[in-house]
Amino acid sequence: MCTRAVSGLAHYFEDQGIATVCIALVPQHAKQIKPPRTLSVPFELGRPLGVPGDPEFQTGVLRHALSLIETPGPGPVFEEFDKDVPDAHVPNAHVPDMNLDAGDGWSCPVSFAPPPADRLDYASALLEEIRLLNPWFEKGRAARGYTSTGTSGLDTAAIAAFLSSFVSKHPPEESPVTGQSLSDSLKLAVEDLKAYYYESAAAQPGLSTSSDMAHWLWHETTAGELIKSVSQACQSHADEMVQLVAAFTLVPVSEKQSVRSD
Amino acid sequence: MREHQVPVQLLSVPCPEFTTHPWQEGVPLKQRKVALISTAGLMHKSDRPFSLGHVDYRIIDTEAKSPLVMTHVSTNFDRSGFVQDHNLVLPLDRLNELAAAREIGSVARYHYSFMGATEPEKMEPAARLLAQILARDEVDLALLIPV
Repeated sequence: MCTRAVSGLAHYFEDQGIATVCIALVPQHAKQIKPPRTLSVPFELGRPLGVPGDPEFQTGVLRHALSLIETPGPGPVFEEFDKDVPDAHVPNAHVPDMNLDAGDGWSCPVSFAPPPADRLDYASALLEEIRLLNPWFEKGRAARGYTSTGTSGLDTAAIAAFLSSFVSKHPPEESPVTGQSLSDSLKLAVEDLKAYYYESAAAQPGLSTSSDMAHWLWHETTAGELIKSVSQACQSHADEMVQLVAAFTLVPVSEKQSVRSD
Repeated sequence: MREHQVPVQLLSVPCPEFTTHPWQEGVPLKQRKVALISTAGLMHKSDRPFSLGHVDYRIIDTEAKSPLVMTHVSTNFDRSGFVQDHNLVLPLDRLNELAAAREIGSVARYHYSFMGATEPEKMEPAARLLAQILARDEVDLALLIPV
């Protein structure tokens, strides 16, 4: 829905005297709202500049977008960026024989134990998984010089305990972070956990596409299993905001059908 | 995305209709001061996270030491690219390179992020105030980037 948002914002900025150019990931929204100048890009949601770690490709997108400011009016101006991302970055394109339904796909060099059969074991299983990933997480952080984790205010042990408690007999009623709502803590703890896993995966050798990493997280890790279980368990939580956050903001729509039924 | 790849649930999202079509002219690109406006729910780690219904924005200060993080409420888009390279979503390094090459005039110190999972109409008050701030900062081109 972000293309809808930038398209609307462009109207307000331009009306206030600020010239704008929009990048669009959902061309239909841009065509309907008609911001003054739009470059529609063919990339997947979440990747408006196309390719991570490819300055040349990103500059090509940026240069095309900025050039629209010199297109004579009146608008709206709508152009398309006609270059696709390299094959290695097309979801699953570099693994032609991969069968996701059979559990194939990009494999993490770290071998994990299967998810715990007993939900009470989630915290310890998650911490063990995090411990195994930690060398890769630290390698990635050192290479980039930053980490996107840490927004929840909880360390990994606290995140493991907090999230696991939602699938226990006594789910939490208050946030472990002073001044933060329970629903915000839940969302931020999940995003911290995802960021930890994605950063760890990205630091490992070999190319991996977004869909490879998503498949790994949601189908091969205790973290993914736990997040899906938390999302499901929270549907009966006493706090309505927790219900709402759990229903719509923790697990992608594409993964919601794969929650374990035990 | 290409039109045929857009998930059907996105196509049913209501979009606002505008009866006017404002259009600002100005100086050539190589003289313009550029600011980035993201809707990715970006913020410095020390800032207040976005949550459901937030219609305001966060300031991204290029001189701040606090790392950049994403707290967008939606989970239905890829985040693995952002954690590898922030320029994929907020291309500040690329923008600075274009400024160094004199393809644009300059890069603003301050950039901004909304969280795009809400109706644009609800962001209008914050957007109009932000436009005034951009004007005082002598920004004459805002590049709006979705996620």
